[in-house]
Amino acid sequence: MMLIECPWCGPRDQSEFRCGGEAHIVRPTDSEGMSDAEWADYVFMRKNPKGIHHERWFHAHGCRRWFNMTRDTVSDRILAVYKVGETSPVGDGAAAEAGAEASK
Amino acid sequence: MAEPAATTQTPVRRAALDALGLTAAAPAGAQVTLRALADVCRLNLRLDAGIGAAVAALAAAGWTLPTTAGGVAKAADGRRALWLGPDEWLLLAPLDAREAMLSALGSALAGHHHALVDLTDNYAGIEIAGRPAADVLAKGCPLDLDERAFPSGRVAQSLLGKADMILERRPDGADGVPVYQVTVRRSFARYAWDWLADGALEFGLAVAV
Repeated sequence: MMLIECPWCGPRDQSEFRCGGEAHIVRPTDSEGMSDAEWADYVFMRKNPKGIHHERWFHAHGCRRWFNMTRDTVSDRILAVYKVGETSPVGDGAAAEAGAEASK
Repeated sequence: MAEPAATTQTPVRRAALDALGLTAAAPAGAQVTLRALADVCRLNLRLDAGIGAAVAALAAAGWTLPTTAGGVAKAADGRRALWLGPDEWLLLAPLDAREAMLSALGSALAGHHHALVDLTDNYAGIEIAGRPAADVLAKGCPLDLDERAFPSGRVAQSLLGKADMILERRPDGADGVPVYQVTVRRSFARYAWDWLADGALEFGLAVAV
């Protein structure tokens, strides 16, 4: 059992949540000029880091809100929980990614 | 071909738990009481960004919306507003107030971007009361139901077994026993009832109709 701190509801059991995969993936603006390889990269290719990872999570059985989480994939420790559109306070370049997301 | 017999077309309401054919039972020593709640009007309210003005308009119409997570705001005539999310509430009232409420809320919210949806028959309500009520719920609910974490006047959405549940802690009963109101989707009514009844067996189960 793992407790996850929902930004709205507070600490809740992991069974109430669903993971939505990597966070801060920015939808391309120049979609008509993209090659197949670039599309494939956007649609399918995801990081699979050993260590710090920024993820989207969904409080599926609670308030049904999406939020972001920074988690260490080695220890499963949750390093930060933050709302959509915010920047992870922990991290390795997440600021740049989140900035790109916010500016689109 | 014979004409079909003329019938009087009257709408028939069937509460979700009617199909169980529940009968009242109060065995000696029963510590947990389950009650099927019919005649509850449930409205779902969503507001968006400019929430403040809409909240003020509702307050003028007698509806105070709780803005802290898990809050419950009471209004007159047994009406309650339950916090479901930062921009989402469940409004509860006696069923006979439904038409009046819909029109009153509709006019109070006119001009504000909102969604007010009548979910009365989308849900089924079960009341569980008794000293071990939290123990029964805790068998299938990961919430912290301790008095300090979940006192009277709190609401939370969580799981009961595999069913989504809106759990509200009601004011304690006359003899100080905790009372909870479980709201599940209509199609989970039998599941939730059976689940609670099974969980309550070891404590002695009474059924109020």
